[in-house]
Amino acid sequence: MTRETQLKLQAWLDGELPAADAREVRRLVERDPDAAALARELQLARQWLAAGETLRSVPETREFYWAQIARHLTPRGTAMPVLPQPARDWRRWLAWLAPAAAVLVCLGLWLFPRLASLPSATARAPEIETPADDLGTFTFRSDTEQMTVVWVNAH
Amino acid sequence: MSHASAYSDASDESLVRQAQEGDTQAFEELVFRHRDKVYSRAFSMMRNETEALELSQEAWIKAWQRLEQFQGESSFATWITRIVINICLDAMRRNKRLHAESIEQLAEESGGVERLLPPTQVDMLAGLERAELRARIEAGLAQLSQAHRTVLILHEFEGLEYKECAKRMGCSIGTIMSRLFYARRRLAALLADLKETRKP
Amino acid sequence: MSRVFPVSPRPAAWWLVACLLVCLAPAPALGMGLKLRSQLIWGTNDPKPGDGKCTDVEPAIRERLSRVFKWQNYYLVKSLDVLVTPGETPRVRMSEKCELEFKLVDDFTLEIKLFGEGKLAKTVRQSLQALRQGELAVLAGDSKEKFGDAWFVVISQPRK
Repeated sequence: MTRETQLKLQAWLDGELPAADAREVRRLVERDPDAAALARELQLARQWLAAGETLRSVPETREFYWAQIARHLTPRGTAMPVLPQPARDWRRWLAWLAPAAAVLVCLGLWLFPRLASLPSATARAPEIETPADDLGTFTFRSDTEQMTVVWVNAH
Repeated sequence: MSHASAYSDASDESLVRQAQEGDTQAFEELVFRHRDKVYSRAFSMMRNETEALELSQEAWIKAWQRLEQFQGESSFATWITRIVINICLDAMRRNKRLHAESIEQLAEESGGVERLLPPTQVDMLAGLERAELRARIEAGLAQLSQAHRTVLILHEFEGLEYKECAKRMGCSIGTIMSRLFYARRRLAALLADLKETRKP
Repeated sequence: MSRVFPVSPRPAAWWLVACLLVCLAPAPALGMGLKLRSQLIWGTNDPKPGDGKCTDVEPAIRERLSRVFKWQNYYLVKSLDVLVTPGETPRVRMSEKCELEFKLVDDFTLEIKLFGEGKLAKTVRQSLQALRQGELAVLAGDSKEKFGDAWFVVISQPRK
């Protein structure tokens, strides 16, 4: 069997041979035991591979794997939210409410850290900041494990 | 229903739509769902844990960048798998590993030792459990060159036609046919050997 | 209510007093400084070396690390307690190459500087509130000495 015949036989099994050539190859397989044996072997290989590949688990935790991806994700362009125009009547109230709200916000900003630092204060999300951020490091947090990680890549 | 479970209960299509609008949590859920499949494909092609990890992550980053192009013609799993395959092929090209290793290349191009081998007639893997069957195949694939393994992955696992395999691997259809032929025959021979050496 | 308060309560006045007390109260513990524990931990899949240089990591920390990272084993190389007081920047040496410097930026923020071979590698700011609530601040990286292993510097507030 020539090299060309062998490849034709394979193409026939893969359904990639034109009809005329396919008839010719089928006749060859029927009358030539070597061609039949080769066809059988190629079919076996196809059959085995049909079982698919072994599914492997990523050897990292979800958080660690994701963190390395997340630091490269650029935010998509988002439209500025359209705020509804307040009704004319409300504007008069706003003139009073705005300063009052500002006073409350200032008071809140001043009081909140002090209240939060008391042992009985409501839990506050931890913060981590990396001012000297560079490309070689990335930060992620595991909420479940209460752990903030800064991974420093070796250069 | 909590926010987290809203993501875990959502379909891939819905998560893709949310991610297309910029929702990274929806994208994280997609990563979580398909990361093993993507990593497995990268590992099958590269046979190296570190490379597979890095390339699979690169695939997810590329997927995020191109997510707007995903129109749902195929499933998301198929789409992301194709991305990781292309990234692995690029990596192989960079490392010049797609040019089949010398001895096998010569064997293949000269008409090859596989022409002289008697064809395997007995299905030595018949009756095996699916997991064991996969493990044996895996062992066989691991012994092939990267170029031969890749052609099997593209043709058999991904179901690509010769023409499509050739386009992706950057070679002629003739080369694909030749590599596929060699890879199948070699795999059959390797599995036959494997069976012989494992006999009690 | 009248049993609780011996005198008749005047809500506005009580609020004023409460606010004043809260405002005047100093942030807890910082006056005396902040006690921190810094631990250098080795992450590996290998068994513990027999040279006695490493010991077992406290189980609670080991379990938390192993739920986040892939390594099977975590060994303690060095553990140091350090007292950080306002205005001071104590520096501790965790290994031949690794040093840490701590600084209280304000009542709520701790700054940690990581030095590798004398050079500043990273500056991290961590909420003191989070540390008080059991947060672990972890600086980590791949080992340059052994492929596949990793080092971790775990900073926490020791339990009293």
